[in-house]
Amino acid sequence: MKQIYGMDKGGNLKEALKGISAPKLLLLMSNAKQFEQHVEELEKAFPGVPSIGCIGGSYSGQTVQADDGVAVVALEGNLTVAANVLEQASTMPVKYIGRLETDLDTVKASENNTVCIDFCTGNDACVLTTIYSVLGRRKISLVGGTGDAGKVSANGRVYEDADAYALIRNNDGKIKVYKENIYQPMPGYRFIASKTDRSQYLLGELNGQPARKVYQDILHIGEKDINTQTFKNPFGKMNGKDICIISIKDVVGDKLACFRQVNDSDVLTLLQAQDIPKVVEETIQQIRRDFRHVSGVFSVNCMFRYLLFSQEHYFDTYLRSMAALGDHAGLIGFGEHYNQQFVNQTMTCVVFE
Amino acid sequence: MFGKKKKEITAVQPSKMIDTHPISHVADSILEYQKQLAQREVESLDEMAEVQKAFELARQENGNLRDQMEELSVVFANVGQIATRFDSVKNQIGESVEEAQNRVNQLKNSSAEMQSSFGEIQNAFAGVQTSVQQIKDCMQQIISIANQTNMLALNASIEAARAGEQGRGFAVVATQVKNLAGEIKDLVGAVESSIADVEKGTTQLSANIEDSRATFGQNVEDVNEAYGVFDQIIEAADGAKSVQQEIEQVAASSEQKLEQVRNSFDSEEDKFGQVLAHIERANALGTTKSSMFEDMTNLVSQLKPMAEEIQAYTAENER
Repeated sequence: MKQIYGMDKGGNLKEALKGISAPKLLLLMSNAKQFEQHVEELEKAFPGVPSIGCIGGSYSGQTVQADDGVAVVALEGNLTVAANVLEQASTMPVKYIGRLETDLDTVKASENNTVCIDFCTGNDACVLTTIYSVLGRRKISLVGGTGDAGKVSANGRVYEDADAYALIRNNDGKIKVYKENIYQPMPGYRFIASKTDRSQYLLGELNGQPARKVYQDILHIGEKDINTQTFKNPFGKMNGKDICIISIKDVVGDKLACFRQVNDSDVLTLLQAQDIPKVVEETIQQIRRDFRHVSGVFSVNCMFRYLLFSQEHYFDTYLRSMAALGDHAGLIGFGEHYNQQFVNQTMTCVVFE
Repeated sequence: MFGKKKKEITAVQPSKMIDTHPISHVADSILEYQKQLAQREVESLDEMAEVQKAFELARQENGNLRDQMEELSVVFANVGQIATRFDSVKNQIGESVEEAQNRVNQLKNSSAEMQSSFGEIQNAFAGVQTSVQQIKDCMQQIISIANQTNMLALNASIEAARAGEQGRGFAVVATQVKNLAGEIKDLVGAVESSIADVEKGTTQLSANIEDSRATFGQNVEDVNEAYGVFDQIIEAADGAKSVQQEIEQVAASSEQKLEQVRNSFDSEEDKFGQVLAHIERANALGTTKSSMFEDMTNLVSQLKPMAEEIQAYTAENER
């Protein structure tokens, strides 16, 4: 398997496609103005080649494209791929679940060598629950993210309110997915969420107290600082021993609006940043332990992580570290997917042998 | 009749429209139950949190009690240690008493030597007094000899006077002899006076020595009595040892009991740990339940729009 990253900061897709000759899958990361155009051009350039796309920044090795550019990640080699879309993501993605089941059969998906990469327009948790109700039974892993502007593409067509997915079977080796959390729980803080509004991603109360007040009182911050403080102290949704990060988006009265739905009875904790380079190094070491040879890494890094790393002048170092594994490219997302989990401020990635 | 039949046929003809309201109703109901279940779960998690809090408090109290027991254990250890210092104090007393006894012994020996010296001094004084007496006797003899010499000088003067001119020279000698005898007598008198002073002084000194000896004898008796007191001190210090042993035994026994209590605490702590681990596990399971609730909600919430879409679709077809 070979992973190629092509990019043009001016939004010229042809430039981005240079060096791509025999793709088995194309992952398009475009900008809001040119998305439809890029989708069309891509399909014309490689007709019939499975592709999915979204609007968002991207990166590879030492290159970052986070503005009005375009990037394409091409996967070549001995792969079996199927790309498709679950429509009506905000209301009933399950209506299209048959497509996924058929595609799984088509690629002959199996646990160790198949992955699902997806780009979603919204209602991610519901979409992931729906997708994983099928993938989970077959133990197929998933990595993906949320794009911007409520649009995705699949096989040369633009969709609004949908989840575009690609099933990739690596016929030359295994595939494994990873999730990297740079945060850890602050000791002594465990909350039970209540008065939530899952459609608005609102968090009303924590242990029966107004969520905004609880957050402010613990961190001794003013209301206007809340949505930047989330870089340092997001919430974590406990799921057994696992933690799903939830970013705070805004303040709505005494409630907190989040980037992910929170449900009544969710157990939340307050998180604080760990030693970031150390966490990154641990992930890299884990991948090295798991793979003798890495042919490509496709990751999704949260926009907030990208901003935090850039603020800390660390993003370039981070890319260098990841590039040491092999060809590394990814999407700067607005929410990350890891199996059935929809998380924020996280990095998820798939590694191809 | 036909008309009636036609009417009957129209009345029983099934509609092509599928009523999906029951599906929506089931979906709504499931979501409502799920909401109630989530609410119960919130309450249950709250209760679990309270249990955990109370249990952690109990564990903390247990820890405090254990700490206090540890402190008590330290106190007992200190008592034991202090009791062992009894032995050290007793030994120090013994050593001090032994040293004091040695010093008293030295004092006794010195006293005996001094008493012996006092005797020798007294003997020496007796010798002096004898010698003084002998000197006095010699003086008497000298005075007697001087008197005889004086008599002889007088007789010689008389004889010289009888001899006349020829005896004149002899008379001069006799007079000089007489004068010498007189001077001897005067000197002897002076010596006798000095000897009387010496005699008086030695008598006085002898009396003083006797007094000192008597006083010294009393001191020696006091020292001997003190020697006896030292023995009593050693005996008393030896008695303290048994008290110390008793204290040590009590402290050791208390330590043993405390060790048992400590073991009970350890066992209890272990049990606490197990219960807390179960609570943690229950909490963790609770958190996975909330994710499952989310998954259930995510799936069930799709039923209603699907049902509505089917309804709309069939309604459209009906028209």
